[in-house]
Amino acid sequence: MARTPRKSIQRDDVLTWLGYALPVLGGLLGVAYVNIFYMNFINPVWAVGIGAILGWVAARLIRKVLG
Amino acid sequence: MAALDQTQVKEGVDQETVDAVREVGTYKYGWETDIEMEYAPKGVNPDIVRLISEKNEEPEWMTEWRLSAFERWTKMEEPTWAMVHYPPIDFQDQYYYARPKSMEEKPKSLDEVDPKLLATYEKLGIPLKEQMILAGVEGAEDMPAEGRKVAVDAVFDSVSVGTTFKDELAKHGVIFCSISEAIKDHPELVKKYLGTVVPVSDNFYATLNSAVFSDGSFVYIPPGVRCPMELSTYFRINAENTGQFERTLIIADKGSYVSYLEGCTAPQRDTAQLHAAVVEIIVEEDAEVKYSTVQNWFPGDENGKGGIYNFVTKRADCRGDRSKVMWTQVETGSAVTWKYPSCILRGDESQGEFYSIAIANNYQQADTGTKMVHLGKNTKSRIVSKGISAGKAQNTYRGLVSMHPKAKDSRNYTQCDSLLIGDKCGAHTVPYIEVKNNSSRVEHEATTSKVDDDQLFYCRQRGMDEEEAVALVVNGFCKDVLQALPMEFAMEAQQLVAISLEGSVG
Repeated sequence: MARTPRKSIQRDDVLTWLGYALPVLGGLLGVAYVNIFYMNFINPVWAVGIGAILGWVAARLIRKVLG
Repeated sequence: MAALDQTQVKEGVDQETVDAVREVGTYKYGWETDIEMEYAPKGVNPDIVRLISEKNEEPEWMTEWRLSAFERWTKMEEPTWAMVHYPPIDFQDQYYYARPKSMEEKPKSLDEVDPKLLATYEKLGIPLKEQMILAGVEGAEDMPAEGRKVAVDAVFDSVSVGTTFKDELAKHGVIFCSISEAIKDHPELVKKYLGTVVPVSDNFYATLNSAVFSDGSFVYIPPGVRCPMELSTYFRINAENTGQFERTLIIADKGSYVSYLEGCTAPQRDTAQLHAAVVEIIVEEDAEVKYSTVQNWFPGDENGKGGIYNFVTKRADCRGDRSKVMWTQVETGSAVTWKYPSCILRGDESQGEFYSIAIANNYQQADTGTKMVHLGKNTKSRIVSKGISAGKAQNTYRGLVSMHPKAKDSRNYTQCDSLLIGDKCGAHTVPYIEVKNNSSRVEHEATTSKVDDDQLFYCRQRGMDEEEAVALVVNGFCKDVLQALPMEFAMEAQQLVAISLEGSVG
């Protein structure tokens, strides 16, 4: 019996994708924050790092709640 | 260019093209308006000070203020510490007041306005619609104007010719007028703030300005008002052998915001002319002021003859907590520049920013920089200075960052880059840093570089000529500062940077 192709994006796909996307998005937001609030003199390395960690934590939480 | 004047222009080439070619590499605003002027007698003395005060119909307190400044000035000595060299200025051999005769009485209709004055505005690129208002025609401000964004105060030699959109600004409570009008109409504000940021005794040129300033701009933004349009001043020196001494006073009350632009040009002459201005900005709690300048005075010819001696004192006082001020300047003109826009960060958490491009070509000399005086807690400042030297020019960055004992946890970041084009020019950096507490942090970065042959080669490989390549490299070098300029000025400044360096390579 032939396998039926998947017609739409499944919930698991989104949850898997979030685990990669949110840390990246967090890092980008960190860069944006540094550039917008440049007078706060924040080290961009810290901003990207903290953004990425927060993104990862957010992805874990979402997966825990929905998964 | 003389060769072009003698060349026979081919048939079919229109005059516009000929003019455009003729303008390349020359100072675009070097022409002169042939207009009938009235002058005060040459020189400066108490009688001239009184005469200027009288011409402006000032009250007695203002005349006394000027006279006390003049008395101080006679006891002061011209500063010599700056890295600029110029022949001694004969302060008694120039006019301190010059105004077009047609401005003696305010014109009531366009027909009454001197057409030469109108033609001057048109040639300087001020929108035609605003000409009537600039010419002071009554009722012109009520005319609808689509897309207008910038209110202009035009200063021609010693007088403010007119201020646009005054009524529209008044609806928002904003006062924008010439300082001579402000002294008459808003004496309480002028009396309260004039000379409080740049005191009469501040320095030689500021004291001279306090005695003989003839006009300038006045801005008051009431509490909580965001100024609905950009405000600007256009300074034009036209009369020969005349100094221009204008004074600008900007007051941003609590929680207000204003962006202010300043532009200036002068005719091309063999003799140098003096320009000594004072700008005072008062920034109250939570208020923000952005002050942008594109300085395009005549820089002198390629042999260093003529040009404007530009001695300017600009200072902002961030009096309230969380107040902000931002200076952005593009200095391309004037033979000698002596200018240090400063920020007194008095309020806690107040912020000062300074972005500057100083371009010196041929025999130009620029000694410019800023002062950031941190007095309040958690104050922050940022300095980005780009100096470009070409030909035989000398460019100096001179900056002071001072952290006072009470300015706990304050921060400063200074970036100071110099670019050399050619091997006969100079770039100098003189930073002063004073830190009187142990919780503040000051950072200073400085670089000096030459336009790299590899960069030029890379650009030329891609079809650019040498001047285009230099302009591209220089615009990249200046990017940080150009980005800080308001949209109205950014494009103009970018072109000006390229034009200022024409002829500097090859």
